[in-house]
Amino acid sequence: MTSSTAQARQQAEFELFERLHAEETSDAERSLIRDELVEMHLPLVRHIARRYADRGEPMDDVVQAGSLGLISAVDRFDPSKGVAFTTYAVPTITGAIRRHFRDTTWALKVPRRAQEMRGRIDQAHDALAQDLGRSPTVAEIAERAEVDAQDVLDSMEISHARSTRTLTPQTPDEVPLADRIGDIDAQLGQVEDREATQALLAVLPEREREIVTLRFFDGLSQSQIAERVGVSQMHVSRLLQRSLQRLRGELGE
Amino acid sequence: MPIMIEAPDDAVEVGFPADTANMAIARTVAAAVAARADLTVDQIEDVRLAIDEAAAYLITHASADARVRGRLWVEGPTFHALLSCSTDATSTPEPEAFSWTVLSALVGDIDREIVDADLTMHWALVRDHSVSA
Repeated sequence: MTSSTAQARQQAEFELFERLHAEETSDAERSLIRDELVEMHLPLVRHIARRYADRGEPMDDVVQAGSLGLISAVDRFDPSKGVAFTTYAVPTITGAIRRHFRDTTWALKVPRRAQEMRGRIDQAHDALAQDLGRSPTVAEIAERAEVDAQDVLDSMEISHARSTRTLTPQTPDEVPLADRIGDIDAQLGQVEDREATQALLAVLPEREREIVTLRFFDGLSQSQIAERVGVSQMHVSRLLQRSLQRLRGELGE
Repeated sequence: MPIMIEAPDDAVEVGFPADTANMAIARTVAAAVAARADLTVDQIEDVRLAIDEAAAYLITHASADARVRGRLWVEGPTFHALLSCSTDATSTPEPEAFSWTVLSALVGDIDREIVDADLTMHWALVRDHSVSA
């Protein structure tokens, strides 16, 4: 990319953000601008998602998680702060993808001792994040969970090396993986706090509520939902985006 | 930007053939070093991703049979990565736009230069200021 096209691009982007926040912009126009900004940066999401390609998660899901991060970055970015949008968006996108991986590790197949340890470490991580208002350090997690720092690092490593294993048990006392894959999916947690969101679903119109439930609680793909509800996949995608937007708005209040 | 910094004697060193299949090793080593600097878990994840982007850049421009050499160290609240790989390029190659966007968003300034046919880059990440050492 030459610097002049990069500059032109950045200028165009800046103007879009200005218009997004301008008072005279109508809601309809605002929604178009938001879509345009999101689409402009989808290649960045795909680029980042590819970095997570070897972690045993369907690429579509990773891209979708990243896209949610992107949407939230578009909504929250303040162009007057003087930072480039991408500088602001990258951590939001990677954060959304990491949450996606954290929230879907129930499919992980590891020895029981490691699993218990992982539970303690995850709990300590979440509690500390809440207490401190930031991501905790390895040492802090180790102290809270009463494990070695190395265990914490190992646990982080495990969440990067998930592989698909057979659904049937390999030893008599092993719990079959198939039994541990529940219907309820914590993926909605990647958007906002899950329990609060469940209660909030009531604010959505019937069809949107059904689509959100199918996507995040029943784990159906957008295409599967499209087929079931009888609309196009693009429409499902738009309804999902709009619904999540609305839910986020409710949670933000 | 020329690289002014030198790796200290106690830097951790990791070397591997310039092939993307080996990046996981560098990621793991870097994460362990970053943990020592008391970087937060999120920052350690940033380091992992930054190592991926940086190594991908070096590997893209590596000469045949080249090895990537990474020196990683902690100085006070700062994690440093100095990465290099032999190259046939005669001037510092332009990075791929997305890669660079991601890398600079994660670590800020990235210095890079070619010295004696080695493409070298340096970047650093400072511990979250609210972490008490």
